[in-house]
Amino acid sequence: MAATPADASSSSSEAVVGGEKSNKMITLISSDGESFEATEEAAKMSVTIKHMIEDGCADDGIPLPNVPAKILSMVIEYCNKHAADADDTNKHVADPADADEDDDNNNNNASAGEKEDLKSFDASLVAVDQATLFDIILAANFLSIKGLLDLACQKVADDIKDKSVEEVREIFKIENDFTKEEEEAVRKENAWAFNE
Amino acid sequence: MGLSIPASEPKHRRHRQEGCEADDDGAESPAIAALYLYGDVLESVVERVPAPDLAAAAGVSREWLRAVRSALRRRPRRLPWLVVHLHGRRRRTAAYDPHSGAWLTVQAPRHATPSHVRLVRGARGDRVCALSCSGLDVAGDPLGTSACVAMKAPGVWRVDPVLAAVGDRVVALGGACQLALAEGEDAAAVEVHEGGNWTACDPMPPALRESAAATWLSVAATDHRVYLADRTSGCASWFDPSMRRWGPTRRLKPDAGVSTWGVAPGRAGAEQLVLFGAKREGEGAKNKVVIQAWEVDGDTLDLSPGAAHHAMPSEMSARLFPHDEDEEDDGETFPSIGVCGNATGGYVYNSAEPANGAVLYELQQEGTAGGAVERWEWVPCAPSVRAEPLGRVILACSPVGLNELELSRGLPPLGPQRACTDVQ
Repeated sequence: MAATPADASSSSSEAVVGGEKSNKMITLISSDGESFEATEEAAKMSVTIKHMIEDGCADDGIPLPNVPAKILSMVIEYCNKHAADADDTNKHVADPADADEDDDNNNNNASAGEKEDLKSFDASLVAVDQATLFDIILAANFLSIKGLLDLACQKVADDIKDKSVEEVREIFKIENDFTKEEEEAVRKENAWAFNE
Repeated sequence: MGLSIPASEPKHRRHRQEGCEADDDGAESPAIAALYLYGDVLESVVERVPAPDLAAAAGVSREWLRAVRSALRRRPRRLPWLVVHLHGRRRRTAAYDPHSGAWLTVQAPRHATPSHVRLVRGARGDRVCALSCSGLDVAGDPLGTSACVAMKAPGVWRVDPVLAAVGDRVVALGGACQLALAEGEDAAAVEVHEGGNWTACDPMPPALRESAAATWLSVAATDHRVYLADRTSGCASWFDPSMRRWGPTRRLKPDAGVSTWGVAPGRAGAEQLVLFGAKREGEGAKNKVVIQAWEVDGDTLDLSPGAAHHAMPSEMSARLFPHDEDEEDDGETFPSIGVCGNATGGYVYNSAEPANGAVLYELQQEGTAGGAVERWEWVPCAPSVRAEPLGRVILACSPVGLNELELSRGLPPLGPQRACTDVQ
């Protein structure tokens, strides 16, 4: 009896059984004027948007002048996926009475499968070119979506793994603005890092 | 500089005009990373860069250096690493970075080194060493990859000594080969290596003579002293190699049920020790291993008054000492722990089964009352150790600097080598 996102959204994630969740849709407007719809629950994964909704500024749609349409659609996709996942976890936790041996196993298998799905979704979301990745980071930073920011920053950090200084500069096209003396000093100072 | 540049131009274009780096003209991508990766965002990225790559990250540009420094200042990586030296079919070394929670496999050193099967404990970090009749060779870095510091062998032939580095001195305690003792020589003999030579000092105190070897003793080295504790009885004492004298001998036994004791340096500031004790509690199938920590004053070896002792969370001690399903009555077996650490924190492990994993402990720092340990964290077993269950494992603990990580990757060292102890 696998729990699908559709089922999850219709059951309560509140501690009180029987509470209704708002199915209200929020309109988000990208920097190039395109409108996107998202459930309130998904939109609230952004702390920035959450505050705007709570302050009552969201009724006519929320303009996001820093986020282009291409990125906004990816962000919304992320929020939809992860909001549903958070809900599933709550659902399992909230119904301990329902869990008999078989049910529990089925639920566990389902959530293990869903976790795998989520991981591969996350991986494919950030498997993009550098420019898009940086746009995602900026958007996640601006919208305060911690999970997405962590994910994207981790991807950039992974790209740095096992690279030399020159290689890192090459990948990110960073100009070396050290003077020769400064560069030598940094190389000599590396022992400081953990002993500060 | 002679060039007038409009203030609004990004810095990288200025460089291009000065003829520093050639780059594709008019290409969009050169600008992107430099424009986006700075400030908080760059710090978030750098935060996630594992230790071996931080040296590269710090050298990229001024902004990257600033970001690395800021990220390290915000979340300092002060805890020592757990270094596992494995002597199986091949020698292998793995190191655990407590900040990123990841194991790093160290490349085998290029030069042939003798088999390092002993440890020299030190406040600046443990080092592996090889002891033979002809000499004592101590590894130059915590990962055992750089050249050894060679010293003369101690005067007394020792097969299982306690070795400790205190400041610039090396101390060898006990472990003398009983069969080879000459007239008047003492199995519990102590020697200090200073200025290229070993000097005999007062032997170990009487309470510790019965257990005067590394197998029976737990060792903690601070900047001034070597502390020894008998792992079974809890008798402890300390030795100061610069004054060449022994401190008081005390029986540390705050809990009679404890079957093994271990000591590690206490927090920085005062001379302090942390005492760990493991015992089995409970009846029959419900018995479990409980590991606790006490604070001990370094000078008097008194247990700190009123210091609430901390117990390791039971799910962690259960993973260190899992129930053996086949064992009829494992309530009979005594849990035996090993401890290694420094003034910021360290590791506790099951000394009979080091492959079960370890528990990281972080010490409370100054000004906080209420016990020695601030937090405990589970450390999974190193993959290379799990792959070779019959190998002999030596666990050591040491801070690891970026220089040493560069060395371990087989790259040439970046700066002046750290000063060595006396080379003979």
